[in-house]
Amino acid sequence: MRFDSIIIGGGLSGLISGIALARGGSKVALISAGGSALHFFSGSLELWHEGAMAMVPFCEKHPSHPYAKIDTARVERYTTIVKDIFARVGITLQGSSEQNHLRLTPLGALKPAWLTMEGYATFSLGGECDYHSVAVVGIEGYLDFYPEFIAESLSNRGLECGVYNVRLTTLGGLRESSTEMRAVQLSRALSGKTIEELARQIAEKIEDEEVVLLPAIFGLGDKDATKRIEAVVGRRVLVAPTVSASVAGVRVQKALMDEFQRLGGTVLNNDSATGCRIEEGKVVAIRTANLEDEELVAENYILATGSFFGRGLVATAEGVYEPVVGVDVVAPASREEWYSKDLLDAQPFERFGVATDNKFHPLLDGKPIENLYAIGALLAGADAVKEGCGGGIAVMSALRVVEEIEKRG
Amino acid sequence: MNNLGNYDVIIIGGGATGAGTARDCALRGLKVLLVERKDFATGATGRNHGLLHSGARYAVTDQESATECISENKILRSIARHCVEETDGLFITLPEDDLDYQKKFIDSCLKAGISAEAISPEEARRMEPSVNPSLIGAVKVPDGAIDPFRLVSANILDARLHGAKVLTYHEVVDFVRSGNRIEGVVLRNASTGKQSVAYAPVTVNAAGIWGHLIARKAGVEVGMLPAKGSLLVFGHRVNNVVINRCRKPANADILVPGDTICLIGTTSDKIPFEDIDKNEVTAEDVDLLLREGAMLAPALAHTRILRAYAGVRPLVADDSDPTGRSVSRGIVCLDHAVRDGLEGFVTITGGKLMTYRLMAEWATDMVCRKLGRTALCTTATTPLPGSKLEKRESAGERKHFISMRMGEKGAVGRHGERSQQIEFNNASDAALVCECEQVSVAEIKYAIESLDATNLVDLRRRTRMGMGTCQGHICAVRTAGILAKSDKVNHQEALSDVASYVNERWRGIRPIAWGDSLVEAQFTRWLYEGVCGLSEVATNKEEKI
Repeated sequence: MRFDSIIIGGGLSGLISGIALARGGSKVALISAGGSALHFFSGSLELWHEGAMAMVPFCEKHPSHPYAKIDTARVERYTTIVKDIFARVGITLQGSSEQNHLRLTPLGALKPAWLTMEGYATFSLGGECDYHSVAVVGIEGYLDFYPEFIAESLSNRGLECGVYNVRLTTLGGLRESSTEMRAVQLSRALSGKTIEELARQIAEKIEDEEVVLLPAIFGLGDKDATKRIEAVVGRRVLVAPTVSASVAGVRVQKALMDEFQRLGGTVLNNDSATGCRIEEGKVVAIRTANLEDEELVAENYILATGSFFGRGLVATAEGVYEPVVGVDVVAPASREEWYSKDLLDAQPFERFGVATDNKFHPLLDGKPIENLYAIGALLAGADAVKEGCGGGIAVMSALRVVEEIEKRG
Repeated sequence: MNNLGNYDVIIIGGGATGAGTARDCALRGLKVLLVERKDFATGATGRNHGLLHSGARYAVTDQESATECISENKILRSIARHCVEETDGLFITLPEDDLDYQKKFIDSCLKAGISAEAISPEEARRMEPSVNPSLIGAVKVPDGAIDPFRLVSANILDARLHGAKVLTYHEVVDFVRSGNRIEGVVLRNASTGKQSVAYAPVTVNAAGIWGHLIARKAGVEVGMLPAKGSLLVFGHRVNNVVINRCRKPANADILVPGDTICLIGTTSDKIPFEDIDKNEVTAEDVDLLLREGAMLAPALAHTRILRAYAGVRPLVADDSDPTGRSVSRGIVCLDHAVRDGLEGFVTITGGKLMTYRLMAEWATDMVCRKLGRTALCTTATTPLPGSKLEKRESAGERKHFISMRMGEKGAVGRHGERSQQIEFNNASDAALVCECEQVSVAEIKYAIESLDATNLVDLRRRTRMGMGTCQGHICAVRTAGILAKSDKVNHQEALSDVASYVNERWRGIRPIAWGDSLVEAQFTRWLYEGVCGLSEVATNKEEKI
């Protein structure tokens, strides 16, 4: 099979590059192993923890950071493109590259964000919102949302908070099984009578709070669930992310995957690239686990396989390698240099990744491979958690590489 | 200073020895106070193989220990059934080992009263398919597995049921003395920093390696040699039978199955006293354990490692050797009145997890002699709470195991008949907090209310929450949600506790963080810091032990 471009990886960066290339008329194949980091998407994408303005001086000091390879003048344009891509699949992203806003975490912390899905509770950078009181509502038996923690945090910020718990009798078997009360299962069950029961109980229980805050477990069953609840309780309904598997993430991944296919893209689902053939400094074909006898051939190849979690990087007791092409990886040999003591603080292993030139061509024995690109969490040089930039790097590197591929024709 | 009152005996140390002594004293009618500077089983008790020794390991080199082990082995099988797995054990001879040793080994076992039967390599492979297939000989012995956390918890529970008062997170900072007599202890509460005082005519030092420092505080010297042993936990149960090497005891030659996992250990290194709280596992320790472990069961070379940990054995210097270099074998029970002229102070040390009950018996005998009490020891025949593994009865009807919910099954396995105290009244309580180890909301609530657990690390030791494959990435915050609803901690403390817990797990993962373990650690970090912003809401992220 022959394509203009083959993308290896079905996470955010792979999907965004796939959609952008397909929009431009390219014949694109995307190899997806199934799950990705999107499955614990918080509902918000982060660009840079200190805001886009701070990226310029940071990049000057850190030339090996992925952002140092993207002219910051492109950030605004790429922001428009990603908002447009999401809008076309029915997901409204709010926010801009000019200034961060704050999003609410499942434990009640406020974190800087770049773009947030409509319907999630957000605050200005100064921590303000346009309401004064909120009813935080949990669902009995659902353990991945903590109304008490959120209410305490919001109270400390001057909001009046009530904590309420509803007990959904119409969930039936879901409640009886000790492992089924998880966000995704719950979301699928939340339609019809269950939504009615939820809305009715909220209306009965809450006092005069202006806003109702619920866990983000809507959208896989009844897509208009929050609107229907709003209609019954007569207040604005907002959601906050949950700890375990993310309903929004599952929804986003499916919507983007559908859009890619609608645009004519080919998806090789539940498959993974196992190796490639390189001739004269270029990738000429790749192999996948499911297509044993057939090589896939394209003009350009994009590695969007993620970090350790996505299996784009593999760590052994002896060292770190990139398993598909075997390109150069930035990682010290000694394991003692891989970790720091506080897991929540900066971790050296997070900065491990594929070494590239300034156009995101990975290096093999120090030389760039001209028709191969690396994007997203696979790139070396960033600690996405500490620097609040995982989504930003995925989107920016994807769109930058698409631009490069399209320029080369 | 707060006065905690008068007792017959104060026991220092919440390991197996201290807990066992508290139980024995309480069963004999004494008024008991047990104090522990951290949580139960935080020292060597919870940092070993969890091996129910048959005694075979010691048979050739130390007949006395071997005899004690087999006797206690039989007792624990009957009094602590919910803590014991009757797996049996193999001592295998590999081509590089001397097969002649096997005969000497079997003779020594039989002399100590340990059944030891030579079986063919084929039979050994049938009995334990994971065993190194190149073995040239095998001996079957009555080894088993024992859960030290559950064992301590059951001893504490029984002590309390018999009137003992138990204080965790209370450190002994000084003694109350009058002339050459110890009359009580001064305690510091680890969370409030407040001091209190308690009085008793006899105080028992059962503090393991820390007993050296306790004795010094009391004004007497008990020479000890700290020896660090490191172990690795694997992600699933590779073997169902304990596998040992049939040779002179050496490093990393015991592989023990336990619940859902298996353990290889140990190394043995003398360390200085200032390092006894560090418990660091080095890269060399890990490499050695992996290399030797794969000799016992080759599958270990490609089995996921969950974590590494280390404990410190309290080897006691022999009083008869003026250089202090020789080590006493077996149990050491010191009456400091006789030895040092200090009245009211007893040290119980040496020994092993296997002989904790016997150590407790000796210490309690000494306490009773000093108090002029005559009650006899009954701990060898009185089952521990939870040991009666009868089917759970509910509302007068027998409830069959197969009809129980997952978390309920897990609870019966862990708490035996005590699981009847756990309320599985509604679907919410039956919900699983920890899927790896099948721990329910109800079991967590029970451990908070009835088993003295005050934080997530304590709860892990009581329930196995977070001990499985994922090493606590989601169950930690779920448990914190339940903990925050109790009156034990406030929300702020519960959130800080999540951070401390995550870092305590990370400490054990770090030495082996490659492959799937690094994938899991990265996921935990993305979830707790990336999605949840834990650092912002936790005031203290210091790992708890």
